[in-house]
Amino acid sequence: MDIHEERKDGFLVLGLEGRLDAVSSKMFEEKVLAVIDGGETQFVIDLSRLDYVSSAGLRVFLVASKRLTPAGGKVVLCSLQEPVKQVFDIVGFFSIFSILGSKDEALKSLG
Amino acid sequence: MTRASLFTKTLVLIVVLFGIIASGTSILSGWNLYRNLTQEYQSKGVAIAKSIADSSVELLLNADVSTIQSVVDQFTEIEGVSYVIVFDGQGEAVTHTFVPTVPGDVLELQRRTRTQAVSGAAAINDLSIEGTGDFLDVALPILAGVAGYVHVGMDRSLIRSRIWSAVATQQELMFVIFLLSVLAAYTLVNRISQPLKQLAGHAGKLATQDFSEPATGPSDIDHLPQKSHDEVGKLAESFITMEIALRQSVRELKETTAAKERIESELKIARDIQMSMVPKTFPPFPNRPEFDLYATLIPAREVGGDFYDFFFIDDNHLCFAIGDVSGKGIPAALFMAVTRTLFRTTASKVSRPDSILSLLNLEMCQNNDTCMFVTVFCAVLDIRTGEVEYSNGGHNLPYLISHGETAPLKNTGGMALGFTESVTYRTEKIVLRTGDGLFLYTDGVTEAMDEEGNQFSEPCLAEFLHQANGSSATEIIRGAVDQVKNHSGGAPQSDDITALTLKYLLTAGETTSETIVVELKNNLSEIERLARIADDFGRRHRLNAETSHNVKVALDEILTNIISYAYDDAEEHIIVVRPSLDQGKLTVEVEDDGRPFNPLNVPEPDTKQLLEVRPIGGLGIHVVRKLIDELEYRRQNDKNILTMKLKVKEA
Repeated sequence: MDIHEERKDGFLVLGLEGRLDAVSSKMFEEKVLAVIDGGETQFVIDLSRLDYVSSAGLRVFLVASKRLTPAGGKVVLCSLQEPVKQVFDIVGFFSIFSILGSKDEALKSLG
Repeated sequence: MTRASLFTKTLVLIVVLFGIIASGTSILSGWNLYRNLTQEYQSKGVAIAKSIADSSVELLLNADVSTIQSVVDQFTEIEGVSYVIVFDGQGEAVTHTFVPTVPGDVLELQRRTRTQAVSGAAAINDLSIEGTGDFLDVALPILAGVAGYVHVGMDRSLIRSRIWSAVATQQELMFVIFLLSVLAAYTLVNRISQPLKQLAGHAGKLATQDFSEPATGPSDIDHLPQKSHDEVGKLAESFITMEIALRQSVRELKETTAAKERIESELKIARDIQMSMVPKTFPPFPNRPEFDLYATLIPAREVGGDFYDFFFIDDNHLCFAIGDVSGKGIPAALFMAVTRTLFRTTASKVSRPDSILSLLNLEMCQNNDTCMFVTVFCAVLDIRTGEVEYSNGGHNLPYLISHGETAPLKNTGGMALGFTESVTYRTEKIVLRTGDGLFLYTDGVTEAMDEEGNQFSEPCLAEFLHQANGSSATEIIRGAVDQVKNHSGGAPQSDDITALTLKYLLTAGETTSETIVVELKNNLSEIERLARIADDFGRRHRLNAETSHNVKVALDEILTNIISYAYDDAEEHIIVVRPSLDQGKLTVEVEDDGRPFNPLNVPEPDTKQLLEVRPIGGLGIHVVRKLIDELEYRRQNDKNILTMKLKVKEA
């Protein structure tokens, strides 16, 4: 899996590409923690190019959210593909995450 | 022509001829006789008159009447002399032979002829005395009328009776000649008509004769040409020549017919041989329910240049093809046989359709002195996935009949085989969905003409195939052939009609004989490899994307768990995954030799929990439970065996 990093409207956008499984989730977790440790309190994770997610990957989203929320931060997810959406649905993530249809919407919700 | 009518005609001719001759000769001879007799009577009368006159001169001058009377009486004895009368110089009748008196007519005549006779010559007059008859009166003056006159009457009735008797004799003779002529004509006509009758009888018998057999013996007219050298003989000769020529011609006809029958029978055998070269048993693979295939080949003549073929390259790949050799009849059939044989040989060496066509083309180009060529469409179907890879060598593009849509396949641009070795054949791919069909055909189908020369045409075929969507392969082929035949009506078939239909029937998740065992190491990187294997499996068995995805996610979760938590050591372990399909149900067994762990015992997480209180882990098993219909766990031989069952949805 590749992680693309960009800054738009003053916010960090992490774009995931490929498979987010037990193997790649470790890298993703490290990246997210590094971002949070670096002082980012509000950022977007763009899933438009993420084909696949397993529970190991889901874990990272939970970790990130748990770290940010108490400090008043927020992570917004956007552009979920159908297979990813299905898994998110199964585990009830739609009720605990801020998930939007597009990157622009996600950025707007932060601004 | 019969003898009776021939003789009747001859008889009529003879009667007419004899009638003319008889009347002609009678008139002529009667007239001649009359003239001669009259002359004879005249001279006789003149002689008598002279004799009387000479002997009466003296007597008249002496008025010796009685002597004159005796002289006169002498002459009346002479045949033909009717009367004699002597007048004196005063015109008084001196003596006469009339009884009792001289008729007035005679006296009257005497008065008229007195002046006439002065010249001394005899005066001859016709005299008709009423009640007595017709006479030739010869008056002669005696001494130039001085002494008197003598009249001699010659009886004309005697002339008439002599003429009649002469004519009667002549007629009797003529009648005898007539009878003899009729007899001669009868004999002659008989002689002529007898051979004619024989010829007629012979000709009548000819009609019932068997000319295919040699003549049974000498015929009844063989002697005629020698016997008669006339027209009848010539006719008989013509008859004999004609009969010989007839026998000869019938014999030749019989030989020609026999030769034709022999060729026809050989052609029929050739047709049987040709037909046995294309597979004709349908269904061809009864134990392969994944597809339905039917084909037909109807040659325009006894043998044709079309062919079709299909066979398994391996357990999962069916090769099928259709071809059309240029031309028709025996040359095309021979070339077809060569092509079909080379095709099989080639397909046993290479298995891609483009390679088959390339190799086949090379073979066909060699020793192709007759410059014949063949168009071939060749395709290979992967039975497991419905994927068809095809290559075209100048042939009519088959139609894809797919869920209400009918269209020709995309061309691959190859040229007919046998022209040149420098042709590259390319392939295209399509994937048949369940129920999709391919209709392969030769131009004999679309170019079949009706009596006005209108072709059946591709739009008509496409329309028929569109309507036939949902029919079996057999129904499609038979329907198409019926359509073509209906179109043609009474017009003779102009080209071979060949068609092949393949319908793909494999439905998702059908039982497979395939046994797959995947062995994985206890390393997280193996999960991605497993995902690829799962994708491939899903494609081959036509599982829909959702099913494939669910299985992949579930396997990921299970495998991640095992690899991450099942082993207490750092050794390499093998995890076995066994997918199988049975009646629309996918079963995947995962077997590991890690520590005992029953995922079914893991409590359900509360997915309604707020973020703050939700545990980070424990979602994997939940995801598996949600995605998989049935989960079973057992511990067996120190191994964890987790069985996942999932109802398959069709692609």
